[in-house]
Amino acid sequence: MKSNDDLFQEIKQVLDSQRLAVMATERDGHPYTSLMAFAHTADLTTIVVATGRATRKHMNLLGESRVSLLIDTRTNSESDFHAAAAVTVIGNASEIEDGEREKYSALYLSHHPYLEKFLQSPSTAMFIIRVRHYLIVNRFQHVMELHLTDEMDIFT
Amino acid sequence: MKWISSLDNDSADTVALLGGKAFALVRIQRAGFTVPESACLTTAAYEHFLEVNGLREKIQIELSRKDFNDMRWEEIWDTSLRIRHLFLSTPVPVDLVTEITEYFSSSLGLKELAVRSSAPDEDQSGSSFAGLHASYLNVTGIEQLLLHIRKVWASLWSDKALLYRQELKLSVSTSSMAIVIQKLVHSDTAGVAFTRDPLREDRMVVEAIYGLNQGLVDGEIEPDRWFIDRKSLQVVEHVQMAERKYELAVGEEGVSLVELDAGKKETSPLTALQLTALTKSMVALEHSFGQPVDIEWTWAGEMFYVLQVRPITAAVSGDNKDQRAWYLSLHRSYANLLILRESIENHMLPAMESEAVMMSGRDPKLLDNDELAAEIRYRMERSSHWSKVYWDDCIPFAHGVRLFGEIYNDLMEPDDPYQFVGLLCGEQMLSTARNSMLQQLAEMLRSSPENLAVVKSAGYSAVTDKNFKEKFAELENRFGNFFTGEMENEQDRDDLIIRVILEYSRLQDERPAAGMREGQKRQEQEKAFLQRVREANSKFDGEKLLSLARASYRLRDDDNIYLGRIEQQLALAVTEGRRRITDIGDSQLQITTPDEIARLLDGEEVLLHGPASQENITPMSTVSLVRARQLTGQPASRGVARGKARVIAAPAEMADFQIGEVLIVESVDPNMTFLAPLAAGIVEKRGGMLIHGAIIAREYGIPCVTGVSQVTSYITTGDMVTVDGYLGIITVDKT
Repeated sequence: MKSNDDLFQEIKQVLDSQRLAVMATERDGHPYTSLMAFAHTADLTTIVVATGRATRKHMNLLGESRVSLLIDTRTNSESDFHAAAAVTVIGNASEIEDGEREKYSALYLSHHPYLEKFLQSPSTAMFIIRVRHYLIVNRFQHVMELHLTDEMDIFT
Repeated sequence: MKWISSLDNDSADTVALLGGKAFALVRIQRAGFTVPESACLTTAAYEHFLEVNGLREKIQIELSRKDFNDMRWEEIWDTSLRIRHLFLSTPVPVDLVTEITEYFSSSLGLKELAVRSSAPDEDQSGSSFAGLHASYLNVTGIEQLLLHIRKVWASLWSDKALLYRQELKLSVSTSSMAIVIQKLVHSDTAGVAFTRDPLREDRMVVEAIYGLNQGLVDGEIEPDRWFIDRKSLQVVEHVQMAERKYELAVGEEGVSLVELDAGKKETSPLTALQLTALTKSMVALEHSFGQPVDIEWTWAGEMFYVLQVRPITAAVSGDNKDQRAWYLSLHRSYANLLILRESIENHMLPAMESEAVMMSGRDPKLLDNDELAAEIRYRMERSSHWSKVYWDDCIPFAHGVRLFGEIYNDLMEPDDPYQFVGLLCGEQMLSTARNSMLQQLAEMLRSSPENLAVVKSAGYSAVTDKNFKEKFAELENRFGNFFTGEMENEQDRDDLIIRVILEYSRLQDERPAAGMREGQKRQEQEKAFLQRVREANSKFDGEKLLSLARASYRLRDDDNIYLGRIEQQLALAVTEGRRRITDIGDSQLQITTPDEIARLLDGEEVLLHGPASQENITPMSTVSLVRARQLTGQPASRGVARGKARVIAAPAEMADFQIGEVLIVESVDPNMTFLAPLAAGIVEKRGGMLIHGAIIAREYGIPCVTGVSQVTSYITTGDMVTVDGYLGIITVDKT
């Protein structure tokens, strides 16, 4: 049986290998997706994203903290169908409080040093996403879940 | 890159483009020998076929469904069959068809061709893997040529090749296949010659048969053999391996075995003059290739042809742990399968039957301790004897189904590569016969509500109906008790069966096995197949082949039930032994082996091992964080079903099975197949299309997925699961 650790490592490998995630937010029941630079903590409990305060996604996040992200290893080639892995993240986003800003800025910039100016701008908001569940798909249709909470239903 | 090479003397084409066999043909001509008129369809043509049809990724998806290390040999065969089907159902690109048609119409002609594999890797790998890839003789017409080209291409992914994938460095991105297309030589005599005996350095070996060489290469005809001294070139020994009976001859389509005339039966296929000429050619070819070689050669009238030359390489031996040679030995010839069938049906099964009956006549309860210990040892010995026979004869016999599948697919070109199974199932199998009896017993209970109520509350002891009791006894007599060894008390064991019958009585209507339902369809399919066999002038007798395949399919299930009955008799004796040993704790007693029980009965001191030695397949309770959402396996019986999972870890749990549940199990044991009429679907960890779970699921028309790694660890009883028997997917809703 796959241990927690094996699955954890599989998911971590996908996250480590990628710079961008697709994030789904929601307004009035309407889903909305955006491509986001992201960074993650080594224990996979937290994902950091940043967004301009004037954006729709920012407004959406203020209205509904529940989000989902997709991070995958596709190369836009045929081989994706047997070789690509995709991780779906289910979690809750909250704006980073001042006391934690420095720690998460460092994490974010270690992944994306070229975004320093963007991150430091007063018009940019940083969010952390507390992950509740990971789902990983590989071998085309093999799906495993890693739950960081004991909820049975990922949509609670 | 060019698609066709004419293999001229001055050809500069590389081995990567031509493959080993075609490349050698150029060298043979340069050495001054005649080869049959030949051309090569290069690896570039194979790649073009893959590219245009997007086949690379389709092959990749098939190959990466499951980790190869987790695959059983049967699953590798299934993978290979699916890839082959992919090739056969994909058309050759139009531009390539045009070029092939134009070339062969004008040069070789589209009549009586030999189509032979010429893989670039095969002869370069330093080891010989004879028979990995396919070759076909006597192919006529462009349609047939295109079909056989695809068959040879597909053989790059044969089960044997997949088995040796590491040694061959088999990979979708780098492996390729070229094909030698030759004018078929109507040979009078043909054979194989080794310029150095693989077993003795000072000798050469020549093997010869009448007719086409394929008869020897495929192992269908035993040759005459000559050993020749390498220095003096004198014959040291001539051995006639077996009575000369047949030759492989060119038929209207393909080739067929023909009986030799009386004169040939009495005369060796090579004259002394021919042998001398051949020996000289061997010396010349070894010199030209710069190393010892094996040569396929043929004589047609006065003309001597060299068909193929390869360096002699070490045979793949492998260490003792390497079971692949055994797996490969499962590929049995038709003739060999006929002999096995005779032996299994007429000798082995009746002997097992009579032994089981004899054992059941000796009630362990009536024996004293010494006698019981002896009886346990005797039954252990018989059980292991039959188990060995089972591995040696019954498992290879199951290859009859595979042989049939390949022939069926070649002749019928069906959309579904497992269509052939429809012709095999529906035979009266012991398991479906037993299930019918359970249904009859259930019907007896259902027809009398008061009886039903009494039995429900008080079990077997409350049964008063004489007919029911007789039928019940008949069931146990014919099939044994499925719970033998689980309960010490006979009454308890009977009660477990009663619970199964009660569950059967809840079935709304009788569920006949699919084969019975679709008799009409099966008859039509059978007619179409037999007609096609006749039209194609196949070397097989369609009816005999079908009969063999059906026996093979049926025995796959039945032989296990016979073996199960002997094992049940052992279990009965062991259970009685355990009951008598009172001075050892229950938990420790449960894990004692039959041998330990026998020794304890003899009064010996036995050092018992702790429970750690027992295999534990219950889910790891510590893992609450990892859950499976979708598990993939192989689709083994079509349909979709959703229901509560029932994970069976021990036989006694079978009695808990309820109508509409999905059976989840490591492997379906034939004694377990009585659950099929109750189940909504079957999921098995063990993989393969021809395993018991898959066979019984198809009989009852319920979805089945096999080869799902670790399924019993990820799914627990009570989880809602969806079984997708079309795609081989299990979706899990944890509750």
